[in-house]
Order: sequence, then structure tokens, then C-alpha cells
Amino acid sequence: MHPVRRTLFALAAVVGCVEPRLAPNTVASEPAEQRIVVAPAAPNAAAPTTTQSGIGAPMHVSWVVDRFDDHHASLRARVERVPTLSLPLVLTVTVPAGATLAAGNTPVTLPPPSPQGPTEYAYELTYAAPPQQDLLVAVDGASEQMGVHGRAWFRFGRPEPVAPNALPTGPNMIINGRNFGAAVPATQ
Amino acid sequence: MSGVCTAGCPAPRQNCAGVCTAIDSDSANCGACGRGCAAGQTCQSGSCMSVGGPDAGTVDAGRVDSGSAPIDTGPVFVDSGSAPIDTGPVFVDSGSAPIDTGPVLVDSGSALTDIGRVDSGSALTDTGRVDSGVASGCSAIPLGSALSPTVFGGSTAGRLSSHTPPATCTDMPAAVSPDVVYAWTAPSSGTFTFDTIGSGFDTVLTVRSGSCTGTALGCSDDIVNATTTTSRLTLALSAGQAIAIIIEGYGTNSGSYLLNITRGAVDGGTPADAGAPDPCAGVTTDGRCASSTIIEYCSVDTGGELPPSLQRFTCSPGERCAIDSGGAATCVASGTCIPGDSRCVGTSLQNCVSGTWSTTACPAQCVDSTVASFCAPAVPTTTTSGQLLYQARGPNSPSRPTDWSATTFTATAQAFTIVSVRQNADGTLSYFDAVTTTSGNSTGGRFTLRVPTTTTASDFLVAFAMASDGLGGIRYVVANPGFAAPGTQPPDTRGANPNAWAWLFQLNTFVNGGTLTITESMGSGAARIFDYLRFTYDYVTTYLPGSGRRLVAWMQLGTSWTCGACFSARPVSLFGSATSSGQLFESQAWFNGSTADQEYWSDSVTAHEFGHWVMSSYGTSPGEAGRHTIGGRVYPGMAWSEGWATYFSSDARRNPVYSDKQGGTFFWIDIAARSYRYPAWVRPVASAGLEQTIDENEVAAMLWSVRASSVSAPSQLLSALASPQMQGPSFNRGYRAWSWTSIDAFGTPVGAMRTSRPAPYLADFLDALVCSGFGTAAVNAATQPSVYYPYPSASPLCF
Repeated sequence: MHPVRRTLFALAAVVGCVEPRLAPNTVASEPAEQRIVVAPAAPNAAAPTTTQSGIGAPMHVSWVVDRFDDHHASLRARVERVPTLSLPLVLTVTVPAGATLAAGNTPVTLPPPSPQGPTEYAYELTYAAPPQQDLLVAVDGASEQMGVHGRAWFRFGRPEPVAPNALPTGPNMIINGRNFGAAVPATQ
Repeated sequence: MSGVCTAGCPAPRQNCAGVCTAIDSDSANCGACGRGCAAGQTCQSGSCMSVGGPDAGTVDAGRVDSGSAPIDTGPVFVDSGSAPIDTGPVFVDSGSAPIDTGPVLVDSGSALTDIGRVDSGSALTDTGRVDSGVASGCSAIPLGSALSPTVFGGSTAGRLSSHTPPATCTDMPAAVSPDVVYAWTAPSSGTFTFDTIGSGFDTVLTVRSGSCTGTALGCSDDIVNATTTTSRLTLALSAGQAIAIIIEGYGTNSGSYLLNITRGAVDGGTPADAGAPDPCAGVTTDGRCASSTIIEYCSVDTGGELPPSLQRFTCSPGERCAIDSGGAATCVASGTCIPGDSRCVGTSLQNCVSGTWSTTACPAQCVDSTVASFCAPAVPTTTTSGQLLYQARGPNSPSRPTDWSATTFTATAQAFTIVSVRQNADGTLSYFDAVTTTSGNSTGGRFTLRVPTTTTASDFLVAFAMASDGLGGIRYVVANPGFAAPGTQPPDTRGANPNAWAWLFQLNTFVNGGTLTITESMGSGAARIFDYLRFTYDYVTTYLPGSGRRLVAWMQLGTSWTCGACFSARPVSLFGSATSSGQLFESQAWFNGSTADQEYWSDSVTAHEFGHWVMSSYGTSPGEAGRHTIGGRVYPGMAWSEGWATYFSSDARRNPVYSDKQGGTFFWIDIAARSYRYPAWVRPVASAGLEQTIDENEVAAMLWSVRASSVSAPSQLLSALASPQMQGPSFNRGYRAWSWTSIDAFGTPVGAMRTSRPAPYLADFLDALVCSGFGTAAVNAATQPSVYYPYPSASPLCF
């Protein structure tokens, strides 16, 4: 920041010319904030360089494929939990049309987590041809205070669906020497 | 059981080669005939269970299976004499929903009698434990690797005295008091705390290696000398390390006791931990000028599981290192201006070249804008107006969400920068005007700007997720790191072509007064992050003067970060070119762009990370950070930092429910409930003092409780964060930061060492709050000091 900008910046801070704005739109609107006079601010200082991460998910659900061909799939639903997550959980497998569950139970109430490692349940599917829809395993649990909802899909050899990726393929936005890179065309 | 199948072979049995087989439990026919389980697996409910599942394949000395799904309830101890024996796992099935009854201690002999848990019908009940023994000698009661909340207890009255505590531990080592010995094995490497809190007499606690005659690893007489006469000590142990825990009385005392074993350091560590070498060799996180152009600062990047380290940042050409008014090292112009800066003076454009302003007359107008000042071309123009919108998603339920909503909603794009631009035949761009969209949920996102009177297919409106500082610079921006392929990257890395998030709309198809919509397929997740940064920034600066650190928020669709979502006050210069040094941003945040998780819809996460920005900009970050999990107990500095960020997220959103999606798992927590129910929300213990390890959400819940006490509380909390007491470099409570290398499965830091670096924590903040005149009743209601967090609101330490 050049000196002029710094000076103007400080002036803006002193006069307190910040205009309160509204919350982003949400599904349910939020109440307007009441403006309240506050104590004088501390200097803008003493900020460490810690990389602070958000809290991690307490569970991860996945499929482990042991064997898979045009008529048969042998796989395990794998549930990894932090050992402290003793929330009662129910595992449900949804078999797609055209496939038959030859082995394995659903739904299953999971036992408490084991410190030794993940919980796995084995499943066998048979089919005349690979189903067009995916095999879904869902693990759900909720109390009044928290909830978890894990999902994983086995896609019978199909690739993971690729979500639309907004690619910045527009012209490079160089403005008076500053290069902000390319923009995303609205046609995408 | 097996046998010859008859026509009546009932489910879940099945005819396997003529044998009526229990396919729900037969490992050779598990779930189906012929489906054998692999080595190390057993058949449970028709599924092969691996080691670590409900049944790890151990011998079950006490299996009770009255139903179809037996469950391992953990180890059982049977005492047939003076030395209890672990009889192995016990399986109890109380019906259709088996319940883990936890460890059960049974003593039929002279020592401990634990009558364990009893199934009284549909719900198993822990009936507690009773010690009817008279003597244990030096024989130890095996506890395996059990941890609290299981509490072990009994009475030493009537037992023999088989142990003498170290002379360094108590002033009456020679006195004879009865004792009890437990054998315990560390389940993992890390720090563990042993205490006798809750015991009914003056205890002495000793931990020895192996047995009660082994080398003393530590001992404790009084937690607080002559005031809190129970005992506590914290030890760093290796996985599998066997120890003996001896509880006895001070002098000749005896009585009922409790033994608690928890992960982590409750008391902030043993004296041996304090004063470990500072890896930054005295350089603070505020940094210093290592030379005229180099900032040297201490980086505490435990978010990426890296140890603290000394880092350097080189100022751009035309800048020099200086210490700002707050004591932080920064880059300032070494000349009149910073090369690359620009400004308008009337219809002239001034560019900073070699530290001085160079003036150029514009052919038409000169335009000051967020992106840069520039000369508009001498082309006839008119004005056009419109409204910028973007698509977004939120949780699919306000109270018990399970995923992001299946449908999108449309929001107004407030405080975005809109530029009108023409691409010339030679590929260069000419800029006509730049404005900021208006505020307001329904009326926001509006713009009016100059555009060419005659438009072609080469004319565009470009919307930037970039907020002006009102002084020709960028206050905050959402940027795309520009990696070539999807993947997971460490924070503070970028691809070859990073860019500011911007969206290009063709002008010749735009109808004056119409709308422009950034759709989901165009990456409107970046727009949502920007809008929430805008909202929280404006919320904070409504109450706190000053503008904080300039911020760049990174998000690329398909790119996730090793830290998940995270924040750091690492400086970075961006948007430079051959003729411009770009702009310095003093802080960065990284948001998960995984298209499977779509975490960019989590306003909770965006506001949480911005909460770290608030602390970094207006207060002091304690410099303790890293991965953390629900229910984990962490050191006070990290609990304060993360608890504040979660509180701020809820405060800004006016919603105590924090929701997120990671790795395919959507989860939510209601901090107002102050309970997870599952797992247990471990509350602090009053007797453990202010510096105890603590669940970060307990801190968030305390702050949320304080917030609810009055309408002005939110602003008072913000002011307390920014108060002089929270600025450092030292803090009244004298806390010193810990650093650690990783966390274990329980969320407990491992490889921890205490540094000499002063850091603030919750008690300092509560001091600042109370010292500002905030009512102590609300503080006490939040902390519940006599039972939980013992903050002494009647005697705050004021600056």
C-alpha cells in the first residue's frame, strides 16, 4: 500500500464510514443486525502465521472392491470413525435395479467404534450385466445435538461423474499492468 | 450348530450342500453358501468382519449370545484371588439393539469387587463398582489400556502397604499408608494424564515403569499444595508401554479413591515440557525485518502437520521492510509510491515507475477502480444497468440436515466489481468503466456503468469476486490457484496460472435493466464464498474500526487442500506482471473445491475461517493449530482459537448449528446444546485449573452462552477480542504455547512440546471481557466455575 493509500485508509477508519450490509441470501432469511456502539479498537497487530484448519469429519464411508466382473461383484462397505464417535449408526445398502444381493445384510446397526480400525461389512452382488445405476452405501446417525450422514457409491466400472468445472478460458484480464488472469465465460 | 437340513431349515440358516448352515455366523458360509471369510475375519450378521470390527476374532471367555448379533463389550476382569484376571471380551445382546456395556470388573476374592453392569431389561445399566477387598500387596489390577470416562475406584482402607512413594514426591514418604496398584498399558504414543480427582482423602499418586517396583516415572501429592489434595500427573508414553499406577494416602491416610486416565495434558504439561527450544529462535509470528527488504517470521503451520519454522518473505521491488504501528513486520513503499500502483488525477493517469509517479493524459476519461486505475478509450459510450445474481445451495434442512439442498436458490451478488471491456482485433483489451455492485438482499447486486454505445460480440461485462478498499486497492478477493488438474494440494501453493475469480458476460446479448447470473456450472461456489466474506467483513467492521489484514481466499473446483479449509496470515503478492509488482495480501484462506463435497456451500466453514481472520487481524492468534476432530481435547491455545472461530461463525450467521461436508460425509453440530450426546461432550473439570486441555466446542459453547445474555453482547465480545489485553506480546495469565506434530485417533495431540512463546487463551479473553465491564453473572453462567471451567470472574486480571 502506498503512503497516500495508507493515509486515506487510516482516515476512513477514524471516521468509521463503514456501511452495515445485509447477510447473504439464505433459504431462511436472517434477522437484521442491530448497530451497537463499541469500545475503541485495538491496533491492527500481533497476527501470527498459524495455518488453522476447520474441524475434520468424524466419519468416512467407502467401498473396498475385492472382485468385480460382468456378472459378479464382491466388495466391502468400510466405515472409518473417530473412536469417540459412538453415535448409533445404521448402514444401509441400496442395490440398483438388475442386481441381486447374494450375500450381506442391510440395514445393519453398527457396533461402537473400535480403536483398532475401521468396521467392514462384506457384500456379494450378482447380475446378468452391470447395472446402469450405482450401488449406494449410506451410514446415518443423528441425535438432537449432532448428526452424520456418509455416502459412497460403487459404479460398476464406470468413471466417477465429472462435475462441471468452470474453466477460465476467457481473455487474460490485464488492467494497466495488473494481471488478474482469465475469466470464466458465461457460456459454460 | 449344523446338521442335516430338512425342509424346515429355517432362516437365517440355509441349505449348504445338504447341511443346514447358520450363514449369519458360519465363517465358511458367511452370508451365502460357499462364501468363506478371509483369515482374521469372522462372520457377523452374514458379513465377514475384519480385525477391528465388532469381533476381532479373539477367544471369548465370556460370550453371551442370546440373539443374532453379539457384540464385544470390552475386556472383563475376574478376580479369583488377589490378582484379577482378564477373561477376555464379553458379548452381551439385550435384544435387537446390542449395547456396548464397556469394561466390566469382577472380583470374587479379597480385593476389588466390581459388580459391573447389569442388564435390567431393555437397557443395560452400569451399577458401579464396589471394593470389598482388604489387601492387594504389590500385585496389580490389570486395566488393559482403558481410558476415562471409565473410572476405576475403590477404597484403600484395610489394604496392605506395599509401596513407598519417591521422597521427592511427598514430605512424608516413610509414613505407612495402604495402597492399590493398577497395571496399565499406553494404547498409543502420546501424553496421558492420571489423576485421583473425586477421591475422598488426601492421595499420593505414583507411576512406575512396569511394576510397583519399577523406576518411578512421576508422582504427585497435591494438585495444588495443601489446597487440592488429590493428585494428578501427566506423562508422555510410548505405544505399548506398560506402567504401574499406585494410589496411596498422604501420611497414613486411606479412604475411597477414584482413578481417572485421560489422553492429553490436563494441567498444561509437566515441568519437563516447559521451555522447550523455540524452533523459531525467538523470532515471533509478527516477524521482524531480517534485511531492508526481507521479512522473517515464525510460521506455525501445524495445519499441514509441519513443525513451527522460520520463514522469509521478500518485499516487492520498490518496497522495503518496516514495522507497522502494531509491531508486525510488513512491506511499505520505499519511494513515493509502489511500482505498479496507479491513480487518476483528473483525466490523467498516474503510474508508479521506480518509486515515483509518471503522468499520462488519457484520451477520454481516467477511471479509478478496485482492479486498477486506467484510461478509458475515446469511444462513444452510454450507460447500462443491471443486477448480478448467483446460484447457491444450503443445507437441506435447517435443523437436521443430511446434505446440501437438491435445488439451488438465487442470491444477489453484493460488492462485486463489474468492469466493461472490449477485446480489440489484436487481442488486447480496452476498459471502459468499473463499478461496485450495490448492497441489499433484494436490491443488492445492482450496477450502472459506461459501455460502448455500439456493442459487438467483442464487448463484455466482467464480474470480479473482488472487493474494493475504497482507495484503489483490493480488500479481499476469491482467487483460483490455477492447478492444471484436480487433486489435493498443500496450502500456499499455486499452479502456473492463478487468477482472480471473474465471470465474462457478453454485452451484446444483455438487455439494459436485465440480470446476469453466475450459475453453478460457472463456479458460483466462489461467488458464495465471496458473498460470505463480504457479509462477515462488513459485520466485523461495523463494530471494529480498522480494516484488518488484506485477504485472498483460494478455491478451485476439483482442488482440495491437505489442511481441509484453513487460514494463515502468510503474506503473498498477487496479480503482478512485467510492469507491476502486484498487490500484497497479508493473509490467505483456503477453501475446499471438491465437487463431490461442495464445501463451498458451507457458510459455517467460510465464516469459521473468517473468524480466524478476525482474531488474526484484531487480536492475537495463540499460534497453536493443526488437525482437530469432534470430541478431541486440545491445548488451551488451540481450543481458544478454534472455539472462537466456531463461535464467530455462529454469531455471524446467528445460528448455533455448524454444518460441513468432507470426504462424502455431511455432519452437523449444535454448539448451543453443549452436548454431542454421542460421543460424550467432555466438560472441563473445575479442579483441573484454567490451563486444562479442553474441547474446542466447549469454548465455542461458552462464548455462545455469553452472547445470549444481552443484545449488546456480540459487539462486546468482538471488542474484548480487540482489546489491548489481547494484543500481547505477553498475556496476563502467562500461558505458553504448545506445538505438536500430529493428533492421534482420539484427536489428542502427540509429539507435543511446550514452547516459551507467550500466547493468549480463553481465560485471557474472559479477563478482557470482564475488565471491560461485562457482567460477571453471564460469564459465570457460561463457565459454571464451581463445577466446570474455573474462571474467577470476581478477580479478573486487568491490563
